[in-house]
Amino acid sequence: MKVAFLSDIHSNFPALCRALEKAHRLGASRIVVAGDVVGAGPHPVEVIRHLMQQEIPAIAGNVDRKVLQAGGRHRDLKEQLRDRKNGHLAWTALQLGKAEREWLEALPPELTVEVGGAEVLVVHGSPQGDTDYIYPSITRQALLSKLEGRRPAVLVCGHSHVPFRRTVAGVRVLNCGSVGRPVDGDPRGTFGMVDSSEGGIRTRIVRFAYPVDHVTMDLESRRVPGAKPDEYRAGIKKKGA
Amino acid sequence: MQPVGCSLIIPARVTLRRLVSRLSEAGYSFGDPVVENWRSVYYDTQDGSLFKHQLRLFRAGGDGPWILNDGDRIFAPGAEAGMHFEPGKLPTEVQSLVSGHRLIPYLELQVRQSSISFEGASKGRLLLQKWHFSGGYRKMKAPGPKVLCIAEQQDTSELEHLVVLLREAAGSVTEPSDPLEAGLQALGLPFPGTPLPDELRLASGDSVMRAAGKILAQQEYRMTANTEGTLQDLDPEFLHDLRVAVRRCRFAVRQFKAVLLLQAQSELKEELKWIGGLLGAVRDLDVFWEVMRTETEAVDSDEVSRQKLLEHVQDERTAPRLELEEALRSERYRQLTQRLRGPLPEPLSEEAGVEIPDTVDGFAGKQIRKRAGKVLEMSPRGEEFSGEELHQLRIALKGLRYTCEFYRDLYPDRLQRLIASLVLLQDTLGAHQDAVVAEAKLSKIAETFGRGDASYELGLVLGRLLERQIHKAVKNRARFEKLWPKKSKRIRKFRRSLKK
Repeated sequence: MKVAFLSDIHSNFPALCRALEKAHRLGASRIVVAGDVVGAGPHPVEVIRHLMQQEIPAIAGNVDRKVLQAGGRHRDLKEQLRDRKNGHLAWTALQLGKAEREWLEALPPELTVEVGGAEVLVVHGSPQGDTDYIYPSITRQALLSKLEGRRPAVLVCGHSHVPFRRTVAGVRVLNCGSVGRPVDGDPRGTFGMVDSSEGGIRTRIVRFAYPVDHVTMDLESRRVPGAKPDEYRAGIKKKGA
Repeated sequence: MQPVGCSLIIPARVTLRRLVSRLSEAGYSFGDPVVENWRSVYYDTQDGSLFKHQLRLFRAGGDGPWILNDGDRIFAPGAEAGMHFEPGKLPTEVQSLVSGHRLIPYLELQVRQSSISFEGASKGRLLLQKWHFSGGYRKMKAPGPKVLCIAEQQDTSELEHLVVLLREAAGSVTEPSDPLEAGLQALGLPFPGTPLPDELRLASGDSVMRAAGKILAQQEYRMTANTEGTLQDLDPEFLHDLRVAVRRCRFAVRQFKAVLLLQAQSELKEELKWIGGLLGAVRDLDVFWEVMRTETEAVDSDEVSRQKLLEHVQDERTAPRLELEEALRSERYRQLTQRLRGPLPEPLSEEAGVEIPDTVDGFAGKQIRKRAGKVLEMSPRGEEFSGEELHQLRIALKGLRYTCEFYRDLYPDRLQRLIASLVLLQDTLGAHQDAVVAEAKLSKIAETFGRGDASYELGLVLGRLLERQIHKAVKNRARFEKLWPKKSKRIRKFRRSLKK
């Protein structure tokens, strides 16, 4: 059995489509989304509707939560659009219809799925919360502390947009990277796969290309606040506003 | 709410089935597909009056309603193609562009369309069209793009979402170009009015040799662009423009003789003289036929006499017309245009006698001054110009005008007014010349019919027509004499300004 884990889609519909196509080509029978479905990108409605229609289970990420928190009166949201750093949250909130908003509100903070008999814990940041990071350098002690007594076979996470896989304290840690906003210098998106098809559990990181110009075009035409098309083209993220 | 829609070009491999399948995954449901074929024919005047103003006039299905598209509005007038356009049927701002001109069919767009209704987050219709183009004298055909249209949408924001979905389903989309431009480009035919391609325009710093090549290629471009319309006899202006291009070519060969191989010069001269002669013979009769058509109406001629005169001119036109058509379809003509288009052979070192500037900038100024000088030399000996003096002045003015037009790109603002003045002088002299020629032809017709059994009415009509041509010649000559002092001053002033 193969399961694909997609994280940090960030409203990037072309990247989501290519990721799903690749996952199916690689034989994934299930898809799970590890948070940050929306925010930053130009296609929040298209992404949510697609996940809804395909009944793909997902958890909430910190940006999803912030988008819901930005909600309020229409006028307030319009004023927030001017914020260069966080205006995209208000913009995203303004795009969502009732159905999309309800779907986002219903997302749980974590999920547990079974892959070939193995328990896979899916979180956005870490088991501590959606803003906590798990980096490649994490130590055994640190991981066990974050797990607070739980010992899944696989821990799937996202949030940092830095894909990696390591076995720490007997737990296979799989950071999926980001489908829609890679930052490691490679503009291609990434997702993770857990495979139990040949006995045992294997994990892998999958890279895929997608038409970046479709996204950059829409970032400009839809006037997403704080959009940085060049960063999408280069697969980086600069600090600051 | 007004329905909205949009069009996108998609890859040829994308099928409606694929799009439906992908949209179904997004929760859309579909009706039954409907397949239909339809066509539109695009029209414009010979000089591209509508095209220049970003207007498109087409007729659905060959005999269906007329539609004018200016990018914002759709307007259906109701004119007849191939005839003198009746004003009052189009918006006022467009009437002046086409009034008095014939509407020429430039392109046929054939569409095979599959359409299907959809419903989901929004409702509307998807139209998947495969375009095909045909046009030109040889009824050339070329495939066109696959175009996806979203129609009858009710919601602009939902339209945006749908476009994103369809873009991902199709793989890539681009904005469709205008069908008329896309079709003419696909068929290798020029746009209405033959706008000159940028690569043929002169640039400051071009060598004289390069400039000569470009100028001859410009004329070849116009010759080729007007050959089709001439062969189809759609509008006499096609032949007129073709003839003018040939004349300009002959003039250019003389002007650039210092940079052309002697043998190439003499061969080109001979070939241009050959085709120019055939064009001239038909053009003279075209002009005369038009004079007869309008003048017989003006003198309120009886219908029998009118038809007799028009048929006589048409009969005279038949043989030269056939000879011209044969020439334009010949390998000889094709080779001539190829030579004008291709690289020019440089003169041998022993042929190059006259020293010429390195770049066209100095050369252009010298040529314009020279030609202006020739015009200004032509002052009348008496109180007014004699017939022969007018004839020589007409030739000199033509030379100056052609020269100014050759180098227009080098002096884009400065030459504008001078060329306008030269055009006015030439048109006035041209009208005078046409009246003189018409007078001579009418006299010959009178002689011909006089020997036969011409009716009393016919004799009267001929007399009235002759009188009017004499009057026109006098009127235009007087007009020219009045214009000359002011316009010649402008020429003198411009010539002086070039010395600085």
